[in-house]
Amino acid sequence: MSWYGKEGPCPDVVLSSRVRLARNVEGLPMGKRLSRERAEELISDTADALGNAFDKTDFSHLDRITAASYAEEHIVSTEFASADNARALYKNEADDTYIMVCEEDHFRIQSITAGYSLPEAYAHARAAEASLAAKFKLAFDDELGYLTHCPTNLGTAMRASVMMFLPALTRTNGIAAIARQLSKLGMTVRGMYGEGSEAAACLYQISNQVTLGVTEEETISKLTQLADIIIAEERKRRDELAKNSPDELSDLIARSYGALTHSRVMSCREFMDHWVNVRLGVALPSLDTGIPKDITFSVLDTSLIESQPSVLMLYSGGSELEPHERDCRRASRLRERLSEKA
Amino acid sequence: MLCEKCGKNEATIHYSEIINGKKTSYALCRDCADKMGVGDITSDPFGFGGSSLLSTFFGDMFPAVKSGRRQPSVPERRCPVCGASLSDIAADGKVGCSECYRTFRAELMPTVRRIHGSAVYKGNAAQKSADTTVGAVPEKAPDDPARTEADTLRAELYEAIKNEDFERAAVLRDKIKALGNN
Ligand SMILES: [Zn+2]
Ligand SMILES: [Zn+2]
Repeated sequence: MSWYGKEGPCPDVVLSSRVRLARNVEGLPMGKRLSRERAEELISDTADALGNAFDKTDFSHLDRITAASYAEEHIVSTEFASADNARALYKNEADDTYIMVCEEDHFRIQSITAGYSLPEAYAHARAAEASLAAKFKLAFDDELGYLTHCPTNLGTAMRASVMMFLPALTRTNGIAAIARQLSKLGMTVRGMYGEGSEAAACLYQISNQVTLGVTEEETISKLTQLADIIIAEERKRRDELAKNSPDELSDLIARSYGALTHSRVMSCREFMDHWVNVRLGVALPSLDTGIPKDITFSVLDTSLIESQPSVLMLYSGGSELEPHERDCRRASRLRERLSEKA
Repeated sequence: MLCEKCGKNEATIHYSEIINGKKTSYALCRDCADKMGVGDITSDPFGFGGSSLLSTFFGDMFPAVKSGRRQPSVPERRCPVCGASLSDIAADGKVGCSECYRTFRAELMPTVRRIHGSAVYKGNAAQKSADTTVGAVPEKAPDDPARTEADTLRAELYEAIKNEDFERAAVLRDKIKALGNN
């Protein structure tokens, strides 16, 4: 079961924690300079390095829908899902650590844990790195750190991030100020599922920008300090919203819950709006919204992933569906998922 | 004020970021800001972060390379492992292999410094080995005076960059170029 099926610390604000490491093999060409033969060799050598603790998925021969569904689960990058070079994904048994072989770098290690759990994700990623380092000489320099395909990632070549649900900060226009503060501190915020600058699902990824001149522990501890502040601020603003207009807010949430559990046609965009309201409702149990107790954060996060186009098509048999057909399947999947609990 | 990128439209977006201790500011028009993904919150859930802006400016970071392109008679130095030349790296915004960082150390360092400031690696690598240091001065070939001179200049260039003396670095880079890079 992957991150969204589990519930971690602070699930009301943090959906997942991720640590990603970029690593390369010394003396092996990268990117388009790596021949198909040598890429395939690297992929099979990786299997030897990881032993039977990891399962391989060959992306070179994967159908489009399955490949894209991995990107929608945040397990691989969208570039990796749609590329046409020889590449593979290794996934561990616990389904929390992944290694993309032949993404931009030879290895992109990623650990995703549920909720607010960066130290755990970091430990998993470093453990996976150690398995690779036992077999490969990883490209490293005393001054520049880990040598990466793109010079922006030199140093620790690590991105640590938390995916945060910030509906109250979004509604009260608090995101821009956070983004400004974060950028001064070497961190960034990106909206997810957005079109343009709008983060439709009120989901934001906060991550470090700095990779050179800092240790991994410093990066994670700084990110944690900032995330702590954001969590506290979001919770404060939620309470204010609930206090200032309890009837309007519970009405909005209850209607959205009704829409998710009774619709017959549900577009992705409409789904996002209702999903945000219902997730906020679960976070504010003092409101009278009529949402059953067993609609938990992880049930909702699972429905978010399952409502994405490719995961939805995979679930419905794996063939391409027209948008209208997808909207019908999404509605029926949501009814199953959220009503069976009620 | 006009946009620093296109020089045509009014700059309405003032964008600054601090990456690894180095602050960079840009005044941009809406169009250019959109094109560069600045101020725009993107939807890529995996994006390793921060590279779109930097790769856009990457080309500007290699004045030596740009003028080198106009002189095709000078044979380009290539990385012995992957065969990439410096102009390949500038065009891609990415190196061809880890050895590129050693082969083109002097030329790449200004870019690295522009991205990361003066910071050096401080993380917890499993292995730290002196023999793989990119900064090592290349071995000299004493029977080739041109080569020796270029190496001396490269070492000086490296020192100048390390001390953030970019004016001196530019002079040294021109001298190295005049020696034909070999
Ligand atoms: Zn412009
Ligand atoms: Zn190379």
